[in-house]
Amino acid sequence: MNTQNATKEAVDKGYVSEVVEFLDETTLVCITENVKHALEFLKKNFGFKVLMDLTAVDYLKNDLDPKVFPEGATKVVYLLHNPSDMSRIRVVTYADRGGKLFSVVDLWPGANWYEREVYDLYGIHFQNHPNLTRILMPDDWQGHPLRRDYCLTEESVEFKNGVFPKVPSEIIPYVKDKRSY
Amino acid sequence: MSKTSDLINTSLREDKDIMELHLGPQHPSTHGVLCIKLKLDGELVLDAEPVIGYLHTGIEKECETRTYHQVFTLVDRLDYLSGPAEEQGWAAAVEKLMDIKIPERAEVIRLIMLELARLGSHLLWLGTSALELNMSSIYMYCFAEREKILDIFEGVSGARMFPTYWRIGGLSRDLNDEFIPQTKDFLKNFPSIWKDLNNLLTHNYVWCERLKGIGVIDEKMCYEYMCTGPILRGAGVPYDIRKAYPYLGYENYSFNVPTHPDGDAYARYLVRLEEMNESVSLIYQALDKLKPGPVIVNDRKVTMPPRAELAVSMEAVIHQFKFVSEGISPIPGEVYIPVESARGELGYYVVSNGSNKPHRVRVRSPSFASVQVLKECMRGLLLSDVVVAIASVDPILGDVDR
Repeated sequence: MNTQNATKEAVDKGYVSEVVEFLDETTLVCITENVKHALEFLKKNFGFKVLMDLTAVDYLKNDLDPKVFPEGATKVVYLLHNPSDMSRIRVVTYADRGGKLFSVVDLWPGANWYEREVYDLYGIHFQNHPNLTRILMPDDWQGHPLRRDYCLTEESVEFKNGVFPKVPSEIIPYVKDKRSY
Repeated sequence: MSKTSDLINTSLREDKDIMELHLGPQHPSTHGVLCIKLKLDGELVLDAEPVIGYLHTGIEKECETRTYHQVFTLVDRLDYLSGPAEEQGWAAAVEKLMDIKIPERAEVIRLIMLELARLGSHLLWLGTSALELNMSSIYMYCFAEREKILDIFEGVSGARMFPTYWRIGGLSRDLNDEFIPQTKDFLKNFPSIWKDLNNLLTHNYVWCERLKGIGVIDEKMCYEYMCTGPILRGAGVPYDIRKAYPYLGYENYSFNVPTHPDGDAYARYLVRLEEMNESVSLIYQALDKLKPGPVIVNDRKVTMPPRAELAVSMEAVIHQFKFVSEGISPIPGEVYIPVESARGELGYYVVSNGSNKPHRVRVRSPSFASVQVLKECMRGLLLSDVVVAIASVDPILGDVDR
């Protein structure tokens, strides 16, 4: 119930460009400029005070509608949770690959590590983030591993200051893109 | 609280001899390869910064290159103490995408396995936490019990820690003959062990003094830092996925969600201890509901045909070949499935693009959030209490780093 009201209000406010209902899960699609406003609006007015998850999905050139996203996009996903009536809502935005977004650390301090993770694995920059550094990969790692065009490689364990050029895997079939990352 | 923050401020202002200490990553009491950068003034912790990533295995990336049924072996390894919960998350997500209703017997068996895994995980947590406070006998009691659970797992699936027992649409095989007597035997003995543990610890002077008031995470902090599971329930919020978003028919069972208002390490200990009791009662109820029947859906597009059929049916051979070589292809779309693992909300966010491999598998791990909150709850503690604070949030580093 809350989810429907929240969706309606957010659409009326003009923050949301598209509403997707799939298998009882509501997804609000926002443009990158509006996503933080939408999150703040939902948090303040509808009690979505927990950011349960923050992650991203990468799309290459032909994974999405080429008319809208000719160069592909990275979908950043925020999952909001309302602890009083257990309603949930997903807010997503399509950012440019390697593009910029406003950080939500001031709304949820816990978003800190989640945004660092998205930066580390996808290369999305979060503006006004207190400490946007790599979190899972070594500090001197090159590239962002969860991007779709990042090859799985066959090298063994990586050590600090010992990063060698990566060789696309012969065994594991994957996108074999020879570009440098 | 104000007294400690005053102390911290004075130490920082006077620029005394501040020591930087890296606790871990190779330290037995950090529950895995967790590094904590501590700023110390004598024994007083001025600042703590957890550093993770030492166990990053890239399983989320690896999942994108595997077919849907190959992923089970990978996700098992994330939270290596409750593999069944990870498998349930993955299976439930794919089943939701493909609109599969699993047989009733499979549901009940899954529930029993999940609760056994929760018991095992809590027992290991209690044992190692006590060991860190130099109570090695409790460690032995806990591990002896956990060993029985692992034996049950071994009988059922052939593997002790990573069962890989789940399949999309049900389970890989039916229960072995010893399962029910073995489980009943375990359940019969467990309450006396539980009582022993309770007698040894709950009013133990050393245990209480070491745990009370350590690592306080209150309700507000839980919401800010997305903490779930025993941490949130230890802060007095009865939030449990099994009640909030029931799966596997949890709504048909009667069980309580234990809470405690204090939010410190002792509260979390009490919550976990009570949860073990609830799990035992859940398993009893589930054993009563166990009726004969199939354990996997009878749909050749989703599951392998039975072995015996291969000898007599050409169709079965084709189905098996297609299943093994190509796998299954859910409809395009995205789902998020939460599961209550032993550590809190374990979420599987699966994006399918209609092919036989997932486009994206995201594991929302409960430990990731609980390690992040350590930074906030450790300021002002003594060095010896840091170990208690880490143990009380029960991080599994395989789950944190994924």
